[in-house]
Amino acid sequence: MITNALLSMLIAFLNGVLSLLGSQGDVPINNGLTSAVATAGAGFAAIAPIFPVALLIAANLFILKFDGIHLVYKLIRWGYQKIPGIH
Amino acid sequence: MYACLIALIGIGMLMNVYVARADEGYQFCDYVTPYDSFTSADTSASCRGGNIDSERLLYGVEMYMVTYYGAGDDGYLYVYDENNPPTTWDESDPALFYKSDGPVSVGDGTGVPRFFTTYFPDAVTIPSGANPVVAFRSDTGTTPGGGFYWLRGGQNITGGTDNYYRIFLWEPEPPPTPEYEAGSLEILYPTYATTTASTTVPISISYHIGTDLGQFSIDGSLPERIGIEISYDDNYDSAGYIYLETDYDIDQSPGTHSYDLTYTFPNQRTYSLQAKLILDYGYTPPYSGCVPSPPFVTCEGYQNTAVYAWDEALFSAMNGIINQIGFTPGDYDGRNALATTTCNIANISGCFQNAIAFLFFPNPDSLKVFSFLWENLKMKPPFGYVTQTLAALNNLSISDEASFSFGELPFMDSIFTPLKNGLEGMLWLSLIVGFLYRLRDLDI
Repeated sequence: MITNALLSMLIAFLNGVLSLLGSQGDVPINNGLTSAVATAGAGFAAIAPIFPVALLIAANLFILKFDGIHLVYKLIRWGYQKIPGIH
Repeated sequence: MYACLIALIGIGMLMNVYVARADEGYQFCDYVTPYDSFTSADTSASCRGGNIDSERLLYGVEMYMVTYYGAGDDGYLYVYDENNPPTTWDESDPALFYKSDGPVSVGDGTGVPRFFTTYFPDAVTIPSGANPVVAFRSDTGTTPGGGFYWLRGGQNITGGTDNYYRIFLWEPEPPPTPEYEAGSLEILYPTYATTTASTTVPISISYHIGTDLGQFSIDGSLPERIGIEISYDDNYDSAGYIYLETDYDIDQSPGTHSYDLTYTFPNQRTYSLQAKLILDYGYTPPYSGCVPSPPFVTCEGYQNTAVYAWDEALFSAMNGIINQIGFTPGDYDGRNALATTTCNIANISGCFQNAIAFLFFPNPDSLKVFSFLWENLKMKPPFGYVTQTLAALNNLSISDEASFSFGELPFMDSIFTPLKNGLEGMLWLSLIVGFLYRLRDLDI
Protein backbone atom coordinates (compact mmCIF):
# COMPACT_ATOMS: atom_id res chain seq x y z
CA MET A 1 0.00 0.00 0.00
CA ILE A 2 2.80 2.39 0.89
CA THR A 3 4.71 1.45 -2.21
CA ASN A 4 1.59 1.89 -4.24
CA ALA A 5 1.10 5.36 -2.80
CA LEU A 6 4.62 6.38 -3.70
CA LEU A 7 4.26 4.92 -7.13
CA SER A 8 0.97 6.70 -7.58
CA MET A 9 2.59 10.04 -6.80
CA LEU A 10 5.36 9.34 -9.25
CA ILE A 11 2.89 8.23 -11.86
CA ALA A 12 0.87 11.38 -11.34
CA PHE A 13 3.98 13.47 -11.93
CA LEU A 14 4.92 11.51 -15.02
CA ASN A 15 1.39 11.83 -16.32
CA GLY A 16 1.81 15.56 -16.06
CA VAL A 17 5.03 15.34 -18.02
CA LEU A 18 3.31 13.16 -20.56
CA SER A 19 0.44 15.57 -20.92
CA LEU A 20 2.91 18.36 -21.70
CA LEU A 21 5.11 16.41 -24.05
CA GLY A 22 2.16 14.63 -25.56
CA SER A 23 1.18 17.84 -27.29
CA GLN A 24 4.40 17.58 -29.27
CA GLY A 25 4.53 15.30 -32.23
CA ASP A 26 6.73 12.28 -32.41
CA VAL A 27 10.28 12.69 -33.53
CA PRO A 28 10.39 11.89 -37.24
CA ILE A 29 11.72 8.46 -37.90
CA ASN A 30 13.39 9.19 -41.20
CA ASN A 31 16.10 11.48 -39.91
CA GLY A 32 19.67 11.99 -40.99
CA LEU A 33 21.06 9.68 -38.38
CA THR A 34 19.31 6.65 -39.77
CA SER A 35 20.58 7.24 -43.29
CA ALA A 36 24.06 8.05 -41.96
CA VAL A 37 24.19 4.76 -40.13
CA ALA A 38 23.16 2.92 -43.25
CA THR A 39 25.89 4.68 -45.23
CA ALA A 40 28.44 3.93 -42.57
CA GLY A 41 27.46 0.26 -42.63
CA ALA A 42 28.21 0.12 -46.35
CA GLY A 43 31.55 1.79 -45.75
CA PHE A 44 32.41 -0.60 -42.99
CA ALA A 45 31.71 -3.45 -45.33
CA ALA A 46 34.36 -2.13 -47.67
CA ILE A 47 37.10 -1.99 -45.08
CA ALA A 48 35.98 -5.08 -43.15
CA PRO A 49 38.45 -7.35 -45.00
CA ILE A 50 41.41 -5.35 -43.76
CA PHE A 51 40.20 -3.94 -40.46
CA PRO A 52 38.27 -5.51 -37.52
CA VAL A 53 35.24 -3.25 -37.89
CA ALA A 54 32.84 -5.73 -36.30
CA LEU A 55 34.85 -5.67 -33.11
CA LEU A 56 34.79 -1.90 -32.98
CA ILE A 57 31.07 -1.77 -33.53
CA ALA A 58 30.41 -4.34 -30.81
CA ALA A 59 32.74 -2.62 -28.40
CA ASN A 60 31.17 0.79 -28.94
CA LEU A 61 27.68 -0.55 -28.53
CA PHE A 62 28.73 -2.18 -25.30
CA ILE A 63 30.20 1.08 -24.04
CA LEU A 64 27.08 2.95 -25.02
CA LYS A 65 24.82 0.55 -23.17
CA PHE A 66 27.09 0.52 -20.19
CA ASP A 67 27.15 4.28 -20.01
CA GLY A 68 23.39 4.43 -20.53
CA ILE A 69 22.79 2.13 -17.60
CA HIS A 70 25.27 4.10 -15.56
CA LEU A 71 23.42 7.28 -16.38
CA VAL A 72 20.08 5.77 -15.34
CA TYR A 73 21.67 4.62 -12.11
CA LYS A 74 22.91 8.08 -11.37
CA LEU A 75 19.52 9.56 -12.13
CA ILE A 76 17.85 7.18 -9.73
CA ARG A 77 20.47 7.90 -7.12
CA TRP A 78 19.94 11.61 -7.61
CA GLY A 79 16.20 11.26 -7.04
CA TYR A 80 16.70 8.86 -4.20
CA GLN A 81 18.95 11.28 -2.35
CA LYS A 82 16.26 13.93 -2.47
CA ILE A 83 14.45 12.02 0.25
CA PRO A 84 15.31 13.65 3.58
CA GLY A 85 17.73 11.66 5.65
CA ILE A 86 19.27 9.78 2.76
CA HIS A 87 22.63 10.87 1.44
CA MET B 1 -50.07 -25.07 -16.46
CA TYR B 2 -53.50 -24.89 -17.68
CA ALA B 3 -55.72 -27.34 -18.91
CA CYS B 4 -57.73 -28.14 -21.63
CA LEU B 5 -60.65 -27.32 -23.52
CA ILE B 6 -63.59 -29.37 -23.97
CA ALA B 7 -66.10 -29.15 -26.49
CA LEU B 8 -69.14 -30.97 -26.91
CA ILE B 9 -69.92 -32.68 -30.03
CA GLY B 10 -73.23 -33.25 -31.32
CA ILE B 11 -73.23 -36.28 -33.38
CA GLY B 12 -75.94 -36.62 -35.82
CA MET B 13 -79.53 -36.59 -35.08
CA LEU B 14 -79.25 -39.59 -32.93
CA MET B 15 -76.43 -38.43 -30.84
CA ASN B 16 -76.23 -35.53 -28.49
CA VAL B 17 -73.02 -34.76 -26.71
CA TYR B 18 -72.46 -31.92 -24.38
CA VAL B 19 -69.44 -30.35 -23.02
CA ALA B 20 -69.62 -30.42 -19.37
CA ARG B 21 -67.39 -30.87 -16.48
CA ALA B 22 -63.98 -30.30 -15.20
CA ASP B 23 -62.00 -33.40 -14.73
CA GLU B 24 -58.72 -33.99 -12.99
CA GLY B 25 -57.79 -30.39 -12.92
CA TYR B 26 -58.68 -29.77 -16.50
CA GLN B 27 -61.09 -27.04 -17.23
CA PHE B 28 -63.38 -27.39 -20.11
CA CYS B 29 -65.54 -25.18 -22.15
CA ASP B 30 -68.93 -24.75 -20.74
CA TYR B 31 -70.56 -24.73 -24.03
CA VAL B 32 -69.76 -24.65 -27.68
CA THR B 33 -72.01 -22.82 -30.00
CA PRO B 34 -73.51 -25.22 -32.48
CA TYR B 35 -72.96 -24.82 -36.11
CA ASP B 36 -76.44 -23.80 -36.94
CA SER B 37 -76.53 -20.74 -34.82
CA PHE B 38 -73.08 -19.77 -33.87
CA THR B 39 -71.86 -16.28 -34.54
CA SER B 40 -68.65 -16.49 -32.71
CA ALA B 41 -66.70 -19.09 -30.95
CA ASP B 42 -66.73 -19.57 -27.30
CA THR B 43 -63.66 -17.82 -26.08
CA SER B 44 -64.61 -17.69 -22.49
CA ALA B 45 -61.93 -17.91 -19.90
CA SER B 46 -62.98 -21.37 -18.97
CA CYS B 47 -62.21 -22.71 -22.40
CA ARG B 48 -58.55 -23.28 -22.65
CA GLY B 49 -56.29 -25.02 -25.02
CA GLY B 50 -54.59 -28.19 -24.11
CA ASN B 51 -51.26 -28.10 -22.57
CA ILE B 52 -48.45 -30.33 -21.59
CA ASP B 53 -49.15 -32.71 -18.83
CA SER B 54 -46.69 -35.46 -18.30
CA GLU B 55 -49.19 -37.54 -16.43
CA ARG B 56 -51.71 -37.46 -19.15
CA LEU B 57 -51.25 -36.61 -22.73
CA LEU B 58 -47.99 -34.98 -23.35
CA TYR B 59 -49.61 -32.86 -25.93
CA GLY B 60 -52.90 -32.29 -27.53
CA VAL B 61 -56.35 -31.26 -26.58
CA GLU B 62 -58.96 -33.33 -24.92
CA MET B 63 -62.63 -33.05 -25.38
CA TYR B 64 -64.77 -34.63 -22.84
CA MET B 65 -68.09 -35.81 -24.06
CA VAL B 66 -70.36 -36.25 -21.14
CA THR B 67 -73.31 -37.81 -22.68
CA TYR B 68 -73.59 -40.03 -25.60
CA TYR B 69 -76.79 -41.24 -26.98
CA GLY B 70 -76.41 -44.19 -29.14
CA ALA B 71 -78.91 -46.36 -30.87
CA GLY B 72 -76.87 -49.39 -31.55
CA ASP B 73 -74.58 -47.82 -34.10
CA ASP B 74 -71.14 -46.40 -33.68
CA GLY B 75 -70.45 -42.74 -34.10
CA TYR B 76 -67.44 -40.95 -35.38
CA LEU B 77 -65.75 -37.68 -34.82
CA TYR B 78 -63.52 -35.43 -36.83
CA VAL B 79 -61.52 -32.46 -35.75
CA TYR B 80 -59.94 -30.18 -38.25
CA ASP B 81 -58.34 -26.84 -38.51
CA GLU B 82 -60.51 -24.11 -39.84
CA ASN B 83 -57.68 -22.76 -41.93
CA ASN B 84 -56.87 -26.16 -43.37
CA PRO B 85 -60.13 -27.93 -44.03
CA PRO B 86 -59.69 -31.48 -45.15
CA THR B 87 -60.50 -32.49 -48.68
CA THR B 88 -60.95 -36.13 -47.86
CA TRP B 89 -62.28 -37.87 -44.84
CA ASP B 90 -60.71 -41.03 -43.72
CA GLU B 91 -62.42 -43.01 -41.05
CA SER B 92 -60.12 -45.98 -41.24
CA ASP B 93 -57.06 -44.23 -39.92
CA PRO B 94 -58.20 -41.97 -37.17
CA ALA B 95 -56.22 -39.10 -35.88
CA LEU B 96 -58.30 -39.15 -32.78
CA PHE B 97 -58.67 -41.67 -30.10
CA TYR B 98 -60.76 -41.95 -27.09
CA LYS B 99 -61.38 -43.92 -24.05
CA SER B 100 -64.47 -44.27 -22.04
CA ASP B 101 -63.25 -42.41 -19.01
CA GLY B 102 -60.27 -41.48 -17.00
CA PRO B 103 -56.84 -40.52 -18.17
CA VAL B 104 -56.07 -41.00 -21.78
CA SER B 105 -53.07 -42.99 -22.72
CA VAL B 106 -51.54 -43.68 -26.04
CA GLY B 107 -53.03 -46.67 -27.69
CA ASP B 108 -55.96 -46.78 -25.43
CA GLY B 109 -59.41 -47.27 -26.88
CA THR B 110 -60.27 -48.49 -30.25
CA GLY B 111 -58.91 -45.50 -32.05
CA VAL B 112 -55.36 -45.84 -33.27
CA PRO B 113 -53.31 -42.84 -32.26
CA ARG B 114 -52.19 -41.10 -35.33
CA PHE B 115 -50.59 -37.75 -35.35
CA PHE B 116 -51.65 -34.94 -37.52
CA THR B 117 -49.78 -32.03 -38.90
CA THR B 118 -51.86 -29.25 -40.29
CA TYR B 119 -55.35 -30.59 -40.04
CA PHE B 120 -57.14 -33.52 -38.65
CA PRO B 121 -59.27 -35.11 -41.29
CA ASP B 122 -59.31 -38.49 -39.70
CA ALA B 123 -62.02 -39.74 -37.50
CA VAL B 124 -62.25 -41.81 -34.41
CA THR B 125 -64.93 -44.39 -34.15
CA ILE B 126 -66.96 -44.10 -31.04
CA PRO B 127 -68.73 -47.22 -30.00
CA SER B 128 -72.37 -47.08 -29.33
CA GLY B 129 -73.12 -46.15 -25.76
CA ALA B 130 -69.64 -44.92 -25.00
CA ASN B 131 -69.01 -41.94 -22.86
CA PRO B 132 -65.67 -41.06 -24.31
CA VAL B 133 -62.85 -38.73 -23.74
CA VAL B 134 -61.47 -37.80 -27.11
CA ALA B 135 -58.04 -36.42 -27.63
CA PHE B 136 -56.08 -35.27 -30.55
CA ARG B 137 -52.50 -34.26 -30.80
CA SER B 138 -49.81 -33.30 -33.21
CA ASP B 139 -47.00 -35.31 -34.63
CA THR B 140 -44.46 -32.76 -33.54
CA GLY B 141 -45.14 -33.35 -29.91
CA THR B 142 -46.45 -29.88 -29.47
CA THR B 143 -49.81 -28.61 -28.57
CA PRO B 144 -51.89 -27.45 -31.51
CA GLY B 145 -51.79 -23.73 -31.86
CA GLY B 146 -54.60 -21.52 -30.85
CA GLY B 147 -57.38 -20.73 -33.23
CA PHE B 148 -60.66 -22.01 -34.51
CA TYR B 149 -61.25 -25.67 -35.05
CA TRP B 150 -64.20 -27.60 -36.25
CA LEU B 151 -65.64 -30.68 -34.76
CA ARG B 152 -67.60 -32.84 -37.08
CA GLY B 153 -69.53 -35.68 -35.66
CA GLY B 154 -71.94 -38.18 -36.96
CA GLN B 155 -73.23 -41.67 -36.73
CA ASN B 156 -72.05 -44.60 -38.73
CA ILE B 157 -75.29 -45.18 -40.45
CA THR B 158 -76.22 -44.64 -43.98
CA GLY B 159 -77.91 -41.34 -44.46
CA GLY B 160 -76.84 -40.00 -41.11
CA THR B 161 -76.39 -36.27 -40.88
CA ASP B 162 -73.29 -34.72 -39.46
CA ASN B 163 -73.24 -31.87 -37.01
CA TYR B 164 -70.54 -29.31 -36.88
CA TYR B 165 -69.31 -27.34 -33.97
CA ARG B 166 -66.86 -24.59 -34.02
CA ILE B 167 -64.57 -24.37 -31.08
CA PHE B 168 -61.80 -22.07 -30.17
CA LEU B 169 -58.58 -23.34 -28.72
CA TRP B 170 -56.70 -20.87 -26.71
CA GLU B 171 -53.10 -20.66 -27.44
CA PRO B 172 -51.58 -22.62 -24.63
CA GLU B 173 -49.98 -20.33 -22.18
CA PRO B 174 -46.23 -20.68 -22.17
CA PRO B 175 -44.79 -22.44 -19.22
CA PRO B 176 -43.72 -20.12 -16.48
CA THR B 177 -40.29 -18.70 -16.94
CA PRO B 178 -37.95 -20.93 -15.03
CA GLU B 179 -36.32 -19.30 -12.13
CA TYR B 180 -32.94 -18.12 -13.25
CA GLU B 181 -30.37 -20.60 -12.19
CA ALA B 182 -27.01 -18.99 -12.48
CA GLY B 183 -24.19 -20.91 -13.95
CA SER B 184 -20.92 -20.22 -12.29
CA LEU B 185 -17.23 -20.84 -12.60
CA GLU B 186 -14.55 -20.76 -9.96
CA ILE B 187 -10.83 -21.28 -10.13
CA LEU B 188 -10.02 -23.61 -7.27
CA TYR B 189 -6.29 -23.62 -7.88
CA PRO B 190 -4.10 -21.64 -8.10
CA THR B 191 -5.73 -19.32 -5.65
CA TYR B 192 -4.92 -15.72 -5.00
CA ALA B 193 -1.33 -15.14 -3.84
CA THR B 194 -0.46 -18.77 -4.35
CA THR B 195 3.19 -19.39 -5.08
CA THR B 196 4.22 -22.47 -6.91
CA ALA B 197 7.62 -24.06 -6.85
CA SER B 198 7.61 -24.48 -10.60
CA THR B 199 6.42 -22.79 -13.72
CA THR B 200 4.38 -25.92 -14.38
CA VAL B 201 1.20 -25.09 -12.58
CA PRO B 202 -1.77 -27.36 -12.00
CA ILE B 203 -5.04 -25.57 -12.66
CA SER B 204 -8.31 -26.72 -11.16
CA ILE B 205 -11.62 -25.17 -12.11
CA SER B 206 -15.10 -25.85 -10.84
CA TYR B 207 -18.03 -24.87 -12.98
CA HIS B 208 -21.75 -25.19 -12.73
CA ILE B 209 -24.26 -25.42 -15.55
CA GLY B 210 -27.90 -24.67 -14.90
CA THR B 211 -30.62 -27.18 -15.50
CA ASP B 212 -32.40 -25.19 -18.14
CA LEU B 213 -30.50 -24.43 -21.30
CA GLY B 214 -33.30 -22.06 -22.24
CA GLN B 215 -31.74 -19.46 -20.02
CA PHE B 216 -28.86 -19.31 -22.48
CA SER B 217 -31.14 -18.44 -25.36
CA ILE B 218 -30.23 -15.42 -27.42
CA ASP B 219 -32.81 -14.36 -29.98
CA GLY B 220 -34.22 -17.84 -29.78
CA SER B 221 -30.89 -19.53 -30.42
CA LEU B 222 -29.54 -21.99 -27.94
CA PRO B 223 -25.83 -22.64 -27.58
CA GLU B 224 -24.59 -25.65 -29.46
CA ARG B 225 -21.88 -26.35 -26.96
CA ILE B 226 -20.36 -25.06 -23.80
CA GLY B 227 -16.66 -24.71 -23.20
CA ILE B 228 -14.07 -23.28 -20.91
CA GLU B 229 -11.64 -20.67 -22.16
CA ILE B 230 -8.42 -20.07 -20.29
CA SER B 231 -6.08 -17.13 -20.71
CA TYR B 232 -3.39 -15.49 -18.66
CA ASP B 233 -1.66 -12.17 -18.22
CA ASP B 234 1.99 -12.12 -17.26
CA ASN B 235 1.58 -8.64 -15.71
CA TYR B 236 4.77 -7.68 -17.45
CA ASP B 237 3.72 -5.48 -20.28
CA SER B 238 0.59 -3.92 -21.62
CA ALA B 239 -0.18 -6.83 -23.90
CA GLY B 240 -3.08 -7.92 -21.74
CA TYR B 241 -4.41 -11.43 -21.52
CA ILE B 242 -2.87 -14.08 -23.67
CA TYR B 243 -5.21 -16.73 -24.97
CA LEU B 244 -4.28 -20.21 -23.84
CA GLU B 245 -6.99 -22.60 -24.89
CA THR B 246 -10.70 -23.23 -25.24
CA ASP B 247 -11.92 -26.70 -24.44
CA TYR B 248 -15.38 -27.71 -25.52
CA ASP B 249 -14.79 -31.32 -24.60
CA ILE B 250 -16.11 -30.84 -21.12
CA ASP B 251 -19.03 -32.27 -19.25
CA GLN B 252 -21.90 -30.10 -20.44
CA SER B 253 -24.69 -31.70 -18.48
CA PRO B 254 -26.46 -29.67 -15.83
CA GLY B 255 -24.72 -29.78 -12.51
CA THR B 256 -21.38 -29.00 -10.97
CA HIS B 257 -18.26 -30.36 -12.59
CA SER B 258 -14.54 -29.96 -12.28
CA TYR B 259 -12.03 -29.21 -14.98
CA ASP B 260 -8.34 -29.76 -14.40
CA LEU B 261 -5.28 -29.18 -16.51
CA THR B 262 -1.59 -28.47 -16.16
CA TYR B 263 0.16 -25.71 -17.99
CA THR B 264 3.80 -24.70 -18.11
CA PHE B 265 4.11 -20.97 -18.11
CA PRO B 266 6.94 -19.48 -20.15
CA ASN B 267 8.69 -17.46 -17.45
CA GLN B 268 9.13 -17.20 -13.73
CA ARG B 269 6.67 -14.46 -13.15
CA THR B 270 3.49 -13.41 -11.43
CA TYR B 271 0.52 -14.35 -13.55
CA SER B 272 -3.14 -13.51 -13.59
CA LEU B 273 -5.13 -16.51 -14.65
CA GLN B 274 -8.56 -16.07 -16.14
CA ALA B 275 -11.11 -18.77 -16.88
CA LYS B 276 -14.40 -18.22 -18.66
CA LEU B 277 -17.49 -20.29 -19.26
CA ILE B 278 -18.06 -19.94 -22.99
CA LEU B 279 -21.28 -20.56 -24.87
CA ASP B 280 -20.81 -21.31 -28.55
CA TYR B 281 -23.82 -20.64 -30.72
CA GLY B 282 -22.22 -22.17 -33.75
CA TYR B 283 -22.81 -19.47 -36.25
CA THR B 284 -22.29 -15.78 -36.65
CA PRO B 285 -23.97 -13.78 -35.46
CA PRO B 286 -26.54 -15.37 -33.22
CA TYR B 287 -27.65 -12.03 -32.00
CA SER B 288 -27.57 -8.53 -33.29
CA GLY B 289 -24.96 -6.29 -31.83
CA CYS B 290 -23.10 -6.98 -28.69
CA VAL B 291 -25.27 -5.94 -25.82
CA PRO B 292 -24.42 -7.96 -22.76
CA SER B 293 -27.41 -8.54 -20.63
CA PRO B 294 -28.19 -11.09 -17.95
CA PRO B 295 -27.46 -13.89 -17.72
CA PHE B 296 -24.50 -13.02 -19.95
CA VAL B 297 -21.70 -11.09 -18.48
CA THR B 298 -20.18 -9.92 -21.69
CA CYS B 299 -19.89 -10.78 -25.33
CA GLU B 300 -16.75 -8.79 -25.86
CA GLY B 301 -14.47 -10.13 -28.51
CA TYR B 302 -16.68 -12.97 -29.61
CA GLN B 303 -18.75 -13.18 -32.68
CA ASN B 304 -20.49 -16.41 -32.08
CA THR B 305 -19.84 -17.02 -28.45
CA ALA B 306 -20.82 -15.40 -25.23
CA VAL B 307 -19.21 -15.41 -21.87
CA TYR B 308 -21.43 -16.67 -19.12
CA ALA B 309 -19.19 -16.53 -16.08
CA TRP B 310 -15.56 -16.08 -15.29
CA ASP B 311 -13.06 -16.03 -12.51
CA GLU B 312 -9.54 -14.78 -12.02
CA ALA B 313 -6.63 -15.79 -9.84
CA LEU B 314 -3.24 -14.22 -9.20
CA PHE B 315 -0.27 -16.41 -8.48
CA SER B 316 3.47 -16.61 -8.89
CA ALA B 317 5.22 -19.33 -10.78
CA MET B 318 8.92 -19.77 -10.11
CA ASN B 319 11.54 -22.41 -9.86
CA GLY B 320 12.26 -24.32 -6.71
CA ILE B 321 15.48 -22.55 -5.77
CA ILE B 322 13.91 -19.13 -5.65
CA ASN B 323 10.97 -20.51 -3.80
CA GLN B 324 13.23 -22.03 -1.17
CA ILE B 325 15.30 -18.97 -0.50
CA GLY B 326 12.31 -16.69 -0.50
CA PHE B 327 13.24 -14.07 -3.02
CA THR B 328 16.21 -12.49 -4.64
CA PRO B 329 16.83 -8.76 -4.51
CA GLY B 330 15.49 -7.11 -7.58
CA ASP B 331 13.35 -10.05 -8.46
CA TYR B 332 9.93 -8.59 -8.70
CA ASP B 333 8.15 -11.92 -8.82
CA GLY B 334 10.12 -13.33 -5.94
CA ARG B 335 8.89 -10.64 -3.62
CA ASN B 336 5.42 -11.92 -4.09
CA ALA B 337 6.58 -14.99 -2.21
CA LEU B 338 6.44 -12.91 0.92
CA ALA B 339 2.71 -13.16 0.87
CA THR B 340 1.27 -16.18 2.52
CA THR B 341 -2.21 -17.44 2.71
CA THR B 342 -2.04 -18.46 6.34
CA CYS B 343 -2.33 -16.03 9.22
CA ASN B 344 -3.36 -17.53 12.49
CA ILE B 345 -2.19 -18.06 16.02
CA ALA B 346 0.00 -20.92 14.92
CA ASN B 347 1.66 -18.85 12.21
CA ILE B 348 2.20 -15.34 13.47
CA SER B 349 5.02 -14.83 11.05
CA GLY B 350 2.55 -15.32 8.25
CA CYS B 351 0.59 -12.34 9.55
CA PHE B 352 3.69 -10.19 9.42
CA GLN B 353 4.50 -11.42 5.97
CA ASN B 354 1.02 -10.58 4.84
CA ALA B 355 1.28 -7.16 6.41
CA ILE B 356 4.61 -6.48 4.73
CA ALA B 357 3.32 -7.67 1.41
CA PHE B 358 0.21 -5.55 1.86
CA LEU B 359 2.15 -2.42 2.76
CA PHE B 360 5.09 -2.59 0.42
CA PHE B 361 4.31 -5.00 -2.36
CA PRO B 362 3.34 -2.86 -5.32
CA ASN B 363 0.34 -3.61 -7.35
CA PRO B 364 1.44 -5.11 -10.67
CA ASP B 365 -0.90 -2.71 -12.40
CA SER B 366 1.03 0.20 -10.92
CA LEU B 367 4.24 -1.12 -12.38
CA LYS B 368 2.62 -1.71 -15.71
CA VAL B 369 1.77 1.97 -15.87
CA PHE B 370 5.45 2.76 -16.32
CA SER B 371 5.58 0.62 -19.40
CA PHE B 372 2.60 2.51 -20.68
CA LEU B 373 4.18 5.85 -19.89
CA TRP B 374 7.41 4.92 -21.59
CA GLU B 375 5.61 3.72 -24.68
CA ASN B 376 4.02 7.15 -24.96
CA LEU B 377 7.08 9.17 -24.04
CA LYS B 378 9.87 7.48 -25.89
CA MET B 379 9.13 9.09 -29.24
CA LYS B 380 8.38 12.54 -27.89
CA PRO B 381 11.13 15.17 -27.87
CA PRO B 382 13.61 15.20 -26.30
CA PHE B 383 13.35 11.53 -25.42
CA GLY B 384 12.62 10.65 -29.00
CA TYR B 385 16.05 11.81 -30.17
CA VAL B 386 17.74 9.59 -27.62
CA THR B 387 15.53 6.67 -28.49
CA GLN B 388 16.21 7.01 -32.19
CA THR B 389 19.90 7.48 -31.69
CA LEU B 390 20.17 4.31 -29.69
CA ALA B 391 18.01 2.45 -32.18
CA ALA B 392 20.14 3.68 -35.05
CA LEU B 393 23.39 2.72 -33.38
CA ASN B 394 21.99 -0.66 -32.52
CA ASN B 395 21.40 -1.10 -36.20
CA LEU B 396 24.97 -0.13 -37.00
CA SER B 397 26.45 -3.19 -38.58
CA ILE B 398 28.39 -4.27 -41.57
CA SER B 399 26.01 -4.19 -44.46
CA ASP B 400 25.86 -6.86 -47.10
CA GLU B 401 26.84 -4.52 -49.88
CA ALA B 402 30.02 -2.46 -49.65
CA SER B 403 29.93 1.14 -50.81
CA PHE B 404 33.34 0.82 -52.51
CA SER B 405 36.05 -1.73 -53.13
CA PHE B 406 39.81 -1.71 -52.76
CA GLY B 407 40.25 -4.00 -55.68
CA GLU B 408 41.96 -7.34 -55.71
CA LEU B 409 45.75 -7.90 -55.68
CA PRO B 410 47.55 -11.26 -55.51
CA PHE B 411 49.35 -10.51 -52.26
CA MET B 412 46.50 -8.64 -50.62
CA ASP B 413 45.23 -11.39 -48.30
CA SER B 414 48.77 -12.32 -47.32
CA ILE B 415 49.40 -8.84 -46.01
CA PHE B 416 46.11 -7.63 -44.59
CA THR B 417 44.80 -10.79 -42.96
CA PRO B 418 47.70 -11.10 -40.47
CA LEU B 419 47.51 -7.39 -39.86
CA LYS B 420 43.79 -7.58 -39.21
CA ASN B 421 44.13 -10.48 -36.80
CA GLY B 422 46.90 -8.77 -34.90
CA LEU B 423 45.02 -5.52 -34.75
CA GLU B 424 41.95 -7.33 -33.49
CA GLY B 425 43.92 -8.90 -30.68
CA MET B 426 45.39 -5.58 -29.68
CA LEU B 427 41.98 -3.98 -29.72
CA TRP B 428 40.55 -6.67 -27.47
CA LEU B 429 43.36 -6.21 -25.03
CA SER B 430 43.05 -2.43 -24.99
CA LEU B 431 39.29 -2.61 -24.56
CA ILE B 432 39.54 -4.97 -21.61
CA VAL B 433 42.21 -2.90 -19.94
CA GLY B 434 40.33 0.29 -20.58
CA PHE B 435 37.14 -1.19 -19.20
CA LEU B 436 38.91 -2.32 -16.06
CA TYR B 437 40.20 1.19 -15.49
CA ARG B 438 36.70 2.43 -16.15
CA LEU B 439 35.23 0.16 -13.51
CA ARG B 440 37.93 1.14 -11.06
CA ASP B 441 37.07 4.80 -11.38
CA LEU B 442 33.34 4.28 -11.70
CA ASP B 443 31.29 6.89 -9.89
CA ILE B 444 28.94 4.96 -7.70
